[in-house]
Amino acid sequence: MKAPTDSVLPLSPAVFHILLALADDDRHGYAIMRDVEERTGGVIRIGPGMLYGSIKWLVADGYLEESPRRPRTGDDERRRYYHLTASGRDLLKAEAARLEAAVGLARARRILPRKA
Amino acid sequence: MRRLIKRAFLLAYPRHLRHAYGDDILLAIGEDLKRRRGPRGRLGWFGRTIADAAASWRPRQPRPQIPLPEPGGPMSSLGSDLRSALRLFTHAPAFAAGAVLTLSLGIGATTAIFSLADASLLHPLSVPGADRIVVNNFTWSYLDFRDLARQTTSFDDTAAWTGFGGALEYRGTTHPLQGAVCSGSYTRLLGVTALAGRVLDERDDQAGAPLAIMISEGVWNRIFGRDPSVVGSTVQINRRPATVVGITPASFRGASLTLKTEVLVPLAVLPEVSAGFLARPDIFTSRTTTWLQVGGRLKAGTQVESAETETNAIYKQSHPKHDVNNPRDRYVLVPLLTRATGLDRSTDLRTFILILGGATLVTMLLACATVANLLLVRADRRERELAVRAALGAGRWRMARLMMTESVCLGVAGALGGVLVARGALSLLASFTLPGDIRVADLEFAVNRLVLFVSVGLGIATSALFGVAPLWRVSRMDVTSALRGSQGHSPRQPLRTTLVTMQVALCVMLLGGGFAFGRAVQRAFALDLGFDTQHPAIVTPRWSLLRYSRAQILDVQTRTLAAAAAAPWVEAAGFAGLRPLSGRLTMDFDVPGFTPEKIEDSDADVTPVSSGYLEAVRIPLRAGRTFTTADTETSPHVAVISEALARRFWPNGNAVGARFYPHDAAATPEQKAGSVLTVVGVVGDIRRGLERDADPMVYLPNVQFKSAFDFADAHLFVRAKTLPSEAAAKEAVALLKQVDPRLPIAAAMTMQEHIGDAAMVHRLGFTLFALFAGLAVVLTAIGVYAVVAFAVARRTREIGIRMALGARASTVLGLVLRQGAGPVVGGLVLGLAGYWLSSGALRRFLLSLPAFDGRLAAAITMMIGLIAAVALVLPLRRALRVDPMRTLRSE
Repeated sequence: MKAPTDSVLPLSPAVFHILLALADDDRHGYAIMRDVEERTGGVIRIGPGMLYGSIKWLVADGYLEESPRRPRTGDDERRRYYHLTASGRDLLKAEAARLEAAVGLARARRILPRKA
Repeated sequence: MRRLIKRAFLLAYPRHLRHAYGDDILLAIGEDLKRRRGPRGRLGWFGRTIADAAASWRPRQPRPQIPLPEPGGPMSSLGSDLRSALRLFTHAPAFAAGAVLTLSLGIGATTAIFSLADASLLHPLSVPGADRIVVNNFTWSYLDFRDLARQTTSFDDTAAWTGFGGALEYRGTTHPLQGAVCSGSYTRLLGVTALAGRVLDERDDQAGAPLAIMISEGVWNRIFGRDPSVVGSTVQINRRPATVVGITPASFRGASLTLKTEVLVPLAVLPEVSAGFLARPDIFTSRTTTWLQVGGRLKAGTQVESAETETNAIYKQSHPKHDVNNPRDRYVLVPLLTRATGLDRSTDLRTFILILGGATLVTMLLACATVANLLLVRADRRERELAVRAALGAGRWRMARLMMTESVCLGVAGALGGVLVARGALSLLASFTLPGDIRVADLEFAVNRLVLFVSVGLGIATSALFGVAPLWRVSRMDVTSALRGSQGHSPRQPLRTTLVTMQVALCVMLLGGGFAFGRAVQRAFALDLGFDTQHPAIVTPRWSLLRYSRAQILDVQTRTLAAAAAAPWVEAAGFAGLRPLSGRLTMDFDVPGFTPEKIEDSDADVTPVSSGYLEAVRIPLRAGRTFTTADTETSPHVAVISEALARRFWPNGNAVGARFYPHDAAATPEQKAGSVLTVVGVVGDIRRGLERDADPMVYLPNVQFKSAFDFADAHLFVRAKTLPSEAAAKEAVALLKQVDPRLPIAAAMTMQEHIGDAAMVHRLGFTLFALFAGLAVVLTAIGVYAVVAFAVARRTREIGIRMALGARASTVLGLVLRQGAGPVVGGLVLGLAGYWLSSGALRRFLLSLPAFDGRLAAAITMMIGLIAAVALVLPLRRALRVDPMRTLRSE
């Protein structure tokens, strides 16, 4: 298992949201795209190039793996599902923590209001 | 189709992704496309997919958000610039579409018009070394040409040619073609190459040689579908078998633009294939029958003057009476290129093309001004984004590059659109005719690459220049206040006001040209031309296709007129060798007792006509009689002349009964006595062209007319009693078909249509100016709107405060109007001045209407007023609706 390193962090928003989309369930590529778009209200859109470009290295570095799960009948059989590995979950956590720290700094400088 | 599009898009992705995830990407693209409805959705999909594909080329972590300055190779940051630039198309589609469309129209129009200018004016003929080639001003006989070719020491090459009408039969269809009969040296003189096969040469130009022809690439495409086996095959030309030995490339346009060269036929075989005049038995043996254009390539170091002297000397050997000092007789050598664009109209062509070029440049400038304005508007909107980038540490150079990339993307998209627009414009132009009877379609020119590069460069330079302008400001920007979104004063408003002033001025100039040409077109149809412009119908048979002899043609004509006389619907009918307003035949006359002051004074326009013609087109008889069927080949030769000619030749008013002679320096006294013409009638003057005054005219009976003129082209004119002229044209065709069912009909039209053809130059001018002016009006309205709307937005707070302090609506109105009035009034004045200064060039195309007068100025002013009114409505409403309370609260 690889530990998240500084060379990977910070994650690009695309990668962050891809990992986030897989946090609770295995999904196929297009479902990840839709999930990100819906969850962010269309603010962040990930195209197939960006998606599979990211998936490729995430799989190669062991943060994601192809899931044995197959589509329900009626869905396209070529679809591949992806599963967040343990190190992938660690990576996501590390990025979220980094973001939280950054936001904390911003609050300290009163860029953002302090928490109510 | 969708599959194909998706596949094409897939190619934009890097190979490693296509290999690993090709199917998945295709699926995703497809699903995404399915969800987007309507053109807007599709456009968004298109932009996003392109941006996504561009982004996927970056290794590892593509960032869809603000790019930060980062280490990495120049290519990787260029990639991200490109990616952000392409996102422009999805984030600001209206802006991007506006800029791209404007650039496309500007680039397209410029490219089309300057390609036309290049094809017609700068490079009318693709003849290598054309500047050394000269052409004789008068036609030559065949024998004299042979003498010149053999004896000359001034020319490297000499060639002779003349126009030729042919019918090419192929697979049961007859195709009328225009072309030239030429000596074997013609292809060498004009540097003709063969696209396929070989060129004609001296071997083909020998009596008894097998009939060989060359066809043009256009004919090869149109009739033979580019079938390579045509070369070497046998076709029927004017019902004679001929071998196609070669194909001339599309760039070859013959020796003159006025004569389309679709087929080349060797001189020596002429008697075999031609009808009418060119089939005369003495065509190769007579020295008095002159019919050939003769040209030559000057030897290196030979001056035109000495070549001219030699030419006249050689001619004089066999024509002792040839007076080299008499300008009526002397052969003058004219540069081929001058001749190519029409002899007397070449300056008109130049001026006309310059006018179109000027109008196009103005349009291009206007397009550039519009794009500049759009970019400045966008820059204001982007202030915040730039501030964010600056706050995040983006350097100036980095942002400049990003904006430059964006501008270049706009420019490239505009260029692509421009090519489409240019193509469309070329097909629009193809139906028109330029001054000098040059049909645009015959030029067969394509988009000129150099012109395209220049106009694309201009477009990109504009967008780059104004796209980067905002940077200037970012360097002095107060990042914090920009981030907070507060709005200060814009220092760039003066620049935009200047741009809009320029837009209005350019728009005024285009409107001026449009109005002026519009009036000319109107005038063309309302002019008193001296004949009936409303009712006659004109039918043009193509006699030459049947290889009829002169006697046969006259026989068909006589029987047609007899049938017309018997037809109850016909009021009058007659044939004429020329139509009024198109084509000219001038002859020199010797008039006893008349000494010309200038040599042109003994010239007159000649039209060979049958009985009934003058009645059919209603040229009024002033004295004597018109022609009747009693004027035959054997009866005394007679003439009917126009009033202008009567006044010139016989100022004492005793024209009827007077005698005169066609000028022929070589004629013996007996020959001269035999050619005498007696005036039997005087008719009203007609105009031979829309922009000409009444020309002195001589009408000769076609049965008695035997000059070097291919009168086989005679047109039938019919005037119906009650039928509308469209129906009369159809009935007249039926009449001809009834007399001779085989006779092919080239055209049947009304006199109004014919006048429309004659007013082609004015219509072309009007069409282009109207299109340009229409575009200008829209762009200018947007420009004015943008400036005023922007000003209102910037001053919302001020307006609110003023209103809170009790300012009336009229004060606010004045405030807003002042923003718009400056550029509109300034532009109007500037534009009117500019139009007034440049409109002199238009004058000769306006049928003696003024190019600029009070009414025109009033019309332009009204139009600009209208534009301003439309452009100001929205910003005015917005200003008046400012709620003072809200403004104050937000303070």
